[in-house]
Amino acid sequence: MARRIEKVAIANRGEVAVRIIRACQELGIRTVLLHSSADTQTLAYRLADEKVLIGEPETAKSYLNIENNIHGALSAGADAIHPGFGFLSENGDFAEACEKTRIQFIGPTADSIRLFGDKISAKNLVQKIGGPTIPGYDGIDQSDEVLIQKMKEIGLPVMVKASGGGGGRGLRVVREIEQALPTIQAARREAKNAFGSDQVFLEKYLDRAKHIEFQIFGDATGKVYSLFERECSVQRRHQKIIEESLSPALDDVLRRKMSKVAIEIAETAKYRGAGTVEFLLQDGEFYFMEMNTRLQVEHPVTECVLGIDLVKAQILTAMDQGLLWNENELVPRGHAIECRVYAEDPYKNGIPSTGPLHFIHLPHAPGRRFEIGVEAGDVISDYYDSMIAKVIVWDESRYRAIRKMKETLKETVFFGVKTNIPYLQAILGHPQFVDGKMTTRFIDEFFPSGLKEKDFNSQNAQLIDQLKNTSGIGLTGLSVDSKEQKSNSPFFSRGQS
Amino acid sequence: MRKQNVVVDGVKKEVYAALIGAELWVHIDGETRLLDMRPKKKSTGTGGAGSSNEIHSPMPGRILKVNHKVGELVKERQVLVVMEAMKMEYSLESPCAGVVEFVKCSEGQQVELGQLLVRLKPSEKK
Repeated sequence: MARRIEKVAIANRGEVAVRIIRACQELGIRTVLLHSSADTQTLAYRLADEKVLIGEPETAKSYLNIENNIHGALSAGADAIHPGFGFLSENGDFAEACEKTRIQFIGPTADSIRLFGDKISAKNLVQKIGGPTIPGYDGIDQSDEVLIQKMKEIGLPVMVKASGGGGGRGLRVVREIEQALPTIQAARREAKNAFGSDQVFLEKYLDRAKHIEFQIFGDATGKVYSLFERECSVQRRHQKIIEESLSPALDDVLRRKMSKVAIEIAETAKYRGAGTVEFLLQDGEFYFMEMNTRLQVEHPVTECVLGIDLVKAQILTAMDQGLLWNENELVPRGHAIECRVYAEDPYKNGIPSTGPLHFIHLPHAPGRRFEIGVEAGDVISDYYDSMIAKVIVWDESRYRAIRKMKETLKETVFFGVKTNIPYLQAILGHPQFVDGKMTTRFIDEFFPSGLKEKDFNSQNAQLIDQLKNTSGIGLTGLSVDSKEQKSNSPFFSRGQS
Repeated sequence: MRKQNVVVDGVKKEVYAALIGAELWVHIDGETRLLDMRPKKKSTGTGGAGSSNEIHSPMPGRILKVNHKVGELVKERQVLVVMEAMKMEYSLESPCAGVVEFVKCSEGQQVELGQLLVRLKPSEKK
């Protein structure tokens, strides 16, 4: 029987909170934003129907605090919680706490989350169905000696990763045995910080592999769909930067093979909702890496090539309702690319850039999509992830999509914090990327020390002088009033603040 | 803010420009550039620049770990301080070999951009 959801609490922040609020609005569902005290000047805060403060800026005291989130949702009378990605989205205890308090968790069951959250049980499941896995170690004995011994057995390079979560956090590579100890310690700290558990696991590091992941979706009837693949090989410190769908590396035969494994994994686990099966592909062989039991940051590229809405599908499934698409309609068309815009200095090897965003310009046009959680005048804080926006484009072919992305980024402007846009442009123009041959080592190989700032050409230098001194466009006339910027923002309609 | 049309050498250019504090932000030819408008003077050691025996915080963030105490001998490029900002860890290495002269930060502390964290007394060159 269908379950009613009339008010959804959002246990997240930033652009994904906005993404979820929009989906709820379109479905006629009210929203409650569960936010920290640092997040009252955000787009999600302005858009949500209700807001509940759940704690201090530190994530451990707010976005990672299960009790505060549950209390917040209950106090507002929410009947469901959408966890977004990151934070508590892959925390089995959180899903269980929701189940216990009869708040519908929009995602898989706590059991599914735990099954795939535990790398050993996930790997066992994949091996059971005959799927390929990577050699590694994820034992309970986490002593330095055992971890180092296991590293030697697996054979370097080996990566050290947080057992508690997906994504790029708490993940490091050991190439020489001398680095083992400091790397293990650093990985533990980062894991503890990001996921609340300092357990790590080891895995053989494939050094010229492509990151290929399959979006799968289990509907309310138990049917599992494969929504094709995304390639996310462009990563820095194991954090994805550019993603696309489909992958230029797969042919139909390999695609079907990988897709079949992904579906079998999800079916075996009786998986429900959106999930992603991540593989590494090297020399024509693919290996199961992990399954993420949540919506992914890069879900928009899948939505673009298939013409579907994954967030609404998640909500409908949580309501025990059917989906609006069926297998025959799931035919990918054209090509989609996503670039993650990080608030960082591209010329100083990506160190974070924080502070008020004074001006934003997003050049809207057909086939371009912007996901962002802030407006001009809002502040980028150092408490949270540095991803401030996602730029997604769709076009008829990969080549055209790359061209479209480059043109889009050329006109995308952020004043106040520095962004990695110049870095994204450099990647998009790199021959290996253009040829679709990039591996997860792409950044290390071609941009090991980031980007070097070019000097102005003489023409622009002259213009800058003019701007600096000047008569033509007086600086006073150009100085920014962030209040005025807000109302003049070319993109955003203003919510209440 | 509107896009401005400027003609330079007969070529029309579209720019966005804004003076924010002492910085001029300019978006030109598809790229955002940042110019320091302060009168030129010698670096006073902000933003990670500074003398070669000091470590300054390259960003606002939190100190996770201080690896060495005053009086300890360190090698060049040895990790002295580990800090965190935006959920990522950053290692700050010693700019030279030497002895730790003072440490001006502690674990858990929130620090500002350019803040002096550690100073070394460089070893005598042989």
